[in-house]
Amino acid sequence: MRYVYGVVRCAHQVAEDLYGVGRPPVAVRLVSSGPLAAIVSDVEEGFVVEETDARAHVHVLIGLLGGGPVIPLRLGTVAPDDNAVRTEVLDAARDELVDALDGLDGLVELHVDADDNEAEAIAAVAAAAPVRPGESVDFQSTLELGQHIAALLVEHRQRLADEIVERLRPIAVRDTPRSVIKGAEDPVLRWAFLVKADDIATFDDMVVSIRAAYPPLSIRYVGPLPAAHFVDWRMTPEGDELDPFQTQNSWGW
Amino acid sequence: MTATMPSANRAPHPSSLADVLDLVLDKGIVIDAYVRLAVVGIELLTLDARVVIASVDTYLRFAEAVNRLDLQPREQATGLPGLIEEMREGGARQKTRGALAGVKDSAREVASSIRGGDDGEQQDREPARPRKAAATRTRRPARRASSDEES
Repeated sequence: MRYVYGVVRCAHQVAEDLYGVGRPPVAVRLVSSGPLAAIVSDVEEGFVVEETDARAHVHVLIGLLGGGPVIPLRLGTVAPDDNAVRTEVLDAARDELVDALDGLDGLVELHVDADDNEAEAIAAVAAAAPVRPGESVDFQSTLELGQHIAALLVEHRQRLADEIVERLRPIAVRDTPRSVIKGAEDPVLRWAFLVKADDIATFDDMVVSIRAAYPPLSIRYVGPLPAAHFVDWRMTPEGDELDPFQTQNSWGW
Repeated sequence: MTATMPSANRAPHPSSLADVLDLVLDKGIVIDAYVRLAVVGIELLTLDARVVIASVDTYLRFAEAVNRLDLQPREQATGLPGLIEEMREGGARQKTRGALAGVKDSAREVASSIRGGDDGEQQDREPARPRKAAATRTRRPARRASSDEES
């Protein structure tokens, strides 16, 4: 079987020492058809994806970024043989894939995550709580105090997230949240930015100044990554109706 | 690792499993015909980890954190923005001591990271928060992260 990592242009330069999924890992190679190529490696029948394979999949995609635009495929995508890769992947959506690659040319994804220290964040919002700690002697009032604090925390984190995204957004081509953040147990920020490779240094500088401006926050900054959050569509066999509700299953079938 | 790293501290790879899965588990294009998926274990793990909602435990933990604040000198807990800022900065310095609470297994790592906890990348700044530990008997918030015996 062929494990498929992503789609690139047929002229994409692939490093020889780029190893993919499986144990031991196998070097990846190109399967070309027309203007397109798929990045694949061989796996045994019955191959099962585990954590190391998920990491390998991402490793391969990142390793490809230097050679041109990359369209990531979903984790665990396999095909019976090279011919199936050509017909079912590359040829089946040639025009769309070419357009998508053109759209990603020169762009990379950057992630910015922010977390606070809960105790510090609570200290920052506690003064605005309508229930004073001294009053929370019984269970009900303690619970109410906690609920008020939770609401204030969510609001506080949302404000911080908005401020950070507002600073970075002008440098990005597109941006999108990476997870829904709305509860009191959620972090401050999980965001993806699509950025021109030429603007990474500018983005770096802004992250540095954001770190300096928000010392209570721990800010994680990762990239350049494949534009996984900006390529999200499914290829359906011709003639099939696409049921939007099917996509709620993360596997699609 | 790369020339651009030192100033911005930009990591070239996602470190936690959650961040890895964030890129490829339900992202990227899906191909329906003849190509199939072979993933076990990871899916359920991740879906479970995403279902974290604030509960009574959360509220009690927050209330207790506020009550701990109240044990500190009154002027620190009374809402002048400048004083609050000062306190947050103080906390930020203190917490570096207790930064390495262990994440026991990958499931907890995923859960913790998705919920915004420890992620390995910046352990020097980001303590693992004992999310589920509703009660902690230490008085000073900065010591929570090191009081691992409660979880």
